Amino acid sequence: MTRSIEFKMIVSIVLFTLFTFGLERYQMSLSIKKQFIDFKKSKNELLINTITPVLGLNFSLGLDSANKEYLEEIQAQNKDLEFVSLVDTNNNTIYIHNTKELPKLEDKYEYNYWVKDIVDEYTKEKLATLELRFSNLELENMRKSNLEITTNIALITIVLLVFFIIFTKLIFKSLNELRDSVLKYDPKKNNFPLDLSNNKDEVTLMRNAIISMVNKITAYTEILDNTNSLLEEKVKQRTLELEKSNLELKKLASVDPLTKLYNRRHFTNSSEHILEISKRNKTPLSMIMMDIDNFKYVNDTYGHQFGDKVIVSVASTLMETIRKSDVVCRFGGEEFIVLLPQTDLDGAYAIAEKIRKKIEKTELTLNEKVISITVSVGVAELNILEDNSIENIINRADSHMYTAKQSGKNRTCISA
Amino acid sequence: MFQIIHPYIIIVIVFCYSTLNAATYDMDLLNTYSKLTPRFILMSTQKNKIDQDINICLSFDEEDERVADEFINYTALNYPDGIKNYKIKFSKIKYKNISLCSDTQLIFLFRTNSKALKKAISFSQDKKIMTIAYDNQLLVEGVDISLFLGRDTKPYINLKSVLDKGIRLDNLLLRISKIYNNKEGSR
Repeated sequence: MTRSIEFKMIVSIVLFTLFTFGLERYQMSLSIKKQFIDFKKSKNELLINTITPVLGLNFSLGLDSANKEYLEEIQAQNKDLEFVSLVDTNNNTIYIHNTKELPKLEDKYEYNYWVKDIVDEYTKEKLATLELRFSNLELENMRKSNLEITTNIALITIVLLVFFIIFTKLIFKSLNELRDSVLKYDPKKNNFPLDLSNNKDEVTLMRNAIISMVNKITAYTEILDNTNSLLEEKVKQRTLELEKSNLELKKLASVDPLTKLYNRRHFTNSSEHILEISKRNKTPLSMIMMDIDNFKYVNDTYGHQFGDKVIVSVASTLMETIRKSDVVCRFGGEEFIVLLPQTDLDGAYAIAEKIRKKIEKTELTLNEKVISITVSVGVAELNILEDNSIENIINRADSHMYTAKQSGKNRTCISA
Repeated sequence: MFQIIHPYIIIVIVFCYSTLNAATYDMDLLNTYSKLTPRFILMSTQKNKIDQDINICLSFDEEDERVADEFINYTALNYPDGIKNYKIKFSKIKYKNISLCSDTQLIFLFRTNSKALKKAISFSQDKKIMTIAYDNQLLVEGVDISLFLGRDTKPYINLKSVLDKGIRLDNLLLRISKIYNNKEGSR
């Protein structure tokens, strides 16, 4: 189980304090008891060594009655003297005093029990026997006093510990606030609630250091956000440019650069799609294929630049003549194809003728010389049952165009 | 007639006087004195050192000689072998011959007239000999030691006269004794 440093610190200090306090009081108690026993033994010994010569002298001098008065004085002066007995050699009790029931003798209290013979100093004759028993009254009083001191010290210790715990809680409260603030901190919101403090204690110094770090994080985050925004803007711009470039490339890939008509690749891709739609919808689809007549001669005679001009002129005528739904492309060098959706053979023928006649009427000039161009045209229509690909229609249209070439050029041939 | 009865009257008067005097001594008290006296000598330091025997001078008037003998008897009974290996010897000296007590360690003063008493005390002061009197009223005259007869019987010491003689008494003896002060009364 993981405990917080605060908990461990408080428990450690409390246990250490209680252990030290208990040990100190225990040792003090032992010391007091030992000192008391030594003192009591010494005091009792001194008392009996003081009493016996006096008693002996009184006995020797025949002043027995003085002993009684003397022992009464001794009894009055020593409150812990519970029992006094003076018995002569004939077992006659000269003096006895018993304050209460005699305590049971214990070895550990042997210093409280004394029996001593009274001897004549000069004749060494035994005169009497003195028995004294002392109580542990002082020890009990000292124990009570020690207990009071222990209780007072314990109370002071507890009060000090409570102050220590409160102080520790205050220190860790600041740390906990710091922890919570760090956990809730969002650099983008800049919501760190604590402010710098002027205190110089370690916790405040750490807190100030973290606040300083948080401020730096906030500043760097702002810089990063701005940089990110700029980058995003640049990326967006670059993306747009790329898209535009892609479109251009795509257009360049599908358009013939000279005539701006679709090229053969684009026609192949789009024509198959148009074919499928027509077959599914069972709508007519026709194709016009044309080739510029004598184009090699034109090229050789008037040059390639004029040849290109001828091609561009034909392309322009085609673009002007066909409908928006029709697809026209430059199929080869001087060959063009027009795909006519929802157009039957007759309609296609009419359009082909319209184109051919328009081209025939077009006059091109080169060095003030007027040159006319003609085209041979083949027209074919989709056979829904037989044609599986656009190639079939192309082949038929090409075949009819060839027929037109063979038949004297500048004419339109159609298939049945 | 006077001449006829004169010798008898004298005898009767002397007899009655001496018997009357002797009867005023308490024998128990005398016995106590007999116990005290040798020990007082042992428990004191004085000019006349104890050599082999303890010498006690009993000073009395003629009519108290029988009491003095009793005192000697009591002492012999109490200390049949002497005390502390010392034999106890007595000198029976009448007051008029008090100068014969000069080599003793203690003079026991029986009752006498004031003149003889003063002379004896003066002698003891000159010779620095310790004195004990049967009557404690004699302390006022300068006797050193007597007995205090109160609730308990205690030695009664005239400390001033003792010190004046250069005699030192054992502390234990002082402890059990009552001290006589001739200026402030007894305490």
